[in-house]
Amino acid sequence: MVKYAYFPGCVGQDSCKELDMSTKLIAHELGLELVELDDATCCGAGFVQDVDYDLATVLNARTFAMAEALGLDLMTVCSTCQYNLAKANYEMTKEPERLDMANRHLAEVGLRYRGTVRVKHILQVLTEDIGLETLRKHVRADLGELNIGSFYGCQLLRPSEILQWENADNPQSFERLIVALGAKPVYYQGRTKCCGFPITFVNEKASMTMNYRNMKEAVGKGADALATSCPLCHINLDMYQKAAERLGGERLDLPVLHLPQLVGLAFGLPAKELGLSRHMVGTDPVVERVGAPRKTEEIVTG
Amino acid sequence: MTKVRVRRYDPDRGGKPYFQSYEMGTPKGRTVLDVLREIHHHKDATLSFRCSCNSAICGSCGMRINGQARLACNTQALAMVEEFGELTIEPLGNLKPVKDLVVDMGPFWQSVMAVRPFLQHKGKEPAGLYPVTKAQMDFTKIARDCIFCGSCLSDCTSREANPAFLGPAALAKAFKFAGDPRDDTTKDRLLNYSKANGIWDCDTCLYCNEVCPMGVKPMDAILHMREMAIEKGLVHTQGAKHAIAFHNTVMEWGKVNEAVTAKNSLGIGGLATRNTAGILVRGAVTGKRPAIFKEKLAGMATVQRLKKSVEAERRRRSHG
Repeated sequence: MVKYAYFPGCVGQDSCKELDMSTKLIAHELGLELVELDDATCCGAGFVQDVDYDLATVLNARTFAMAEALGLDLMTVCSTCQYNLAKANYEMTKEPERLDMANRHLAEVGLRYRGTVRVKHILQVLTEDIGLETLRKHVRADLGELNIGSFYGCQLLRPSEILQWENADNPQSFERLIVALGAKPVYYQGRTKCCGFPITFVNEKASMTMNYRNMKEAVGKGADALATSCPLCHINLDMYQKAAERLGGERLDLPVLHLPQLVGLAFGLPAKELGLSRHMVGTDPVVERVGAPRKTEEIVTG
Repeated sequence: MTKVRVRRYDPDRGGKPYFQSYEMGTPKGRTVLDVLREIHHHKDATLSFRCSCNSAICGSCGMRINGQARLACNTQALAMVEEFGELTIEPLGNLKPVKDLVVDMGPFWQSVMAVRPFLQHKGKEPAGLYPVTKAQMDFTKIARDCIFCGSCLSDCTSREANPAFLGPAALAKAFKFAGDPRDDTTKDRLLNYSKANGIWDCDTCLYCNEVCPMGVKPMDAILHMREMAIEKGLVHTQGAKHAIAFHNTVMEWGKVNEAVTAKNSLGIGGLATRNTAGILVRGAVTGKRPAIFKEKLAGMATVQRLKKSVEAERRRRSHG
C-alpha cells in the first residue's frame, strides 16, 4: 500500500477542481491512500515569496510539519506547488539556519519540523512508487488512437538541483506514462517550456504568445490533446486558449487534460466523474475516440 | 561512429539555415568543442564558431547542444550521444545568427548596458577602503559568477515571446548592484527594473537557473529584486499589485482566492477590458470558474500568528 499526505493545492480545488476529483478517483482505483492535508496553506506559488520570502518558507514548514506528524511524505498534483514546496524543503534541509528560522516561528504555535519529509508530484508517485506495470494492469479502455503531447510545466523539471528526479533537458516520465496507458506520446519542444500563466496578468500578449506557440507546435506534430501536470498550465492552455487563438489567428481546438484525467480515461472511468465536461475547450473528441463510458453504470468491468 | 548534426548558415551565399551531418568518433573525454575543431580542421574549414579559453571561463562557446544552451568546451560529446543518440549543435537561441554557430551578441550587451552595470555612488567617495561585510556580499553571490556566455538568454522563454524583455543575464547583473551596499541608487534601480520588460515580466520558467554553466541563479536574483521593490514601496506596477493581491488573499483565507486576487490585481476596469472577462462568462457555462465564496482554513489563527512572528523578527532585525 502506497500512502501519502495529500497536498491538493489551491487551484486544484477551485477553478480546476476536476484535478482534485480525478486524482481521488484514480487513487481509489490504484489503492493509493491519500491523507488530505485540508488545513495546509497555499505553497505561495512564487507570489507570496515575492512579498515575504521568509513567511512563505515558514508556512510551507508548517505544511511539512503536518505531514511529518503523520509519518508520511507529501504528494502534490501541481508543478508550481511541487517547486515551491521542494525549494523550501531543500533550503531547510541544506541550510540549518533556514530550518532554525522556520522552527523559531513554528514554536510560537507549538509546531516543529525536523526536516524528514520528502515531497513528490503525482507523476513521480505514479511512475516511481506505483510503477508502470501496475498502471498497465488497471488499463481498461483503448487509448491506441490517441496522440498525447505532455506538458510538464516548468517547475516540475527545473531546477534539477532542487527537484532531483528527472532529466530536465530530456524528461521521459510523462511519455513513459502515456505509453503505459496505451496512447502515443507526441514529442515537441514546447513540452518543457512555459505556458505563460505566471505573467498573464502582467504581460498578457507575451503570455498568449507562449501559449499559442506551444499548442500550435503540438498540433503540428499531430497531438490530439495535451496532458498537463500543472493546473496553472491548465488555466492558460484551456481557459485562455480562445485568447491565444485570437492572437495567433488560427483556431486550434486542442483539448487539454489533467494528468489524472488521462489516467482515469485509460482506466475506463466515466468522463463526467473525471470532470472532463468542465473544460472550456471541449473534450468530446478525446472521450469519443477512447470510447470511454460516460456514466458510472456504463463502466465495463472484467 | 556518431552522427553529428550542425546547423549551418551563410548569409553571403544567400541560403537558408540547414543541418549538415558528419559521421565521426566521439570517444570518452572529447568535448563538443573538440568535435567542432575536428570538423573545422579536417572536414570543413568553412564552419564558423566562437571559442577561446577552453576552460569554461571566457563564455565564448555558448551554443545549443541537443536542444539546450551549454558551453561547448565543458560538454562531453559522449554524454550527449548516450543521452540523445546523436549530437546536434545549433547557435544560441533568441539571438540572430551571423554565420553558422556565431550569433550577434549585440542585443545581449544592449540589455546588460540598460541596467547601468556599474556602482553608482552619491556624494564623496570614502577616503580609504570601502568596508563591506562578508554577509552583505554573500547576498549577491548568486549573481556574481556570470561569464556573459548568453546561455540563459538563449533559453529564456520570456525573451522568446517578448524580445524587449531585459532577460536573465542583464537582470542578474542588475541584482549585483541593487544588492550591493556600496551602491547609493538602490531605489532608483528598482524603480527602473520594475518598468515594463523588467523584473515583473519574468515568467519564472527557471531555464536560466538550469542552463547556467556557472551556477548563477538569475531567476532567484529577479525574485530578490521583486521582494526588495515591494519592501521599498514600489507597488504601483501590475506585477507588484498581482503579487500583493495574491499574498493578501492567502493571508485572509489561507489559500489563494482566485476571484478576489483577479479583482484586486487588475481592478474591475482591468478585468472588463482583458480576456479574463470572456473567460469568466464562459466559465459560468461550463462550471470552470473560481468560487465566489470561499471558506477560510480552520487554522487561520495559526497562520496569522506565524505572519506576525515573522514580521516582528524582521522589525527587530532592522532595528538592531
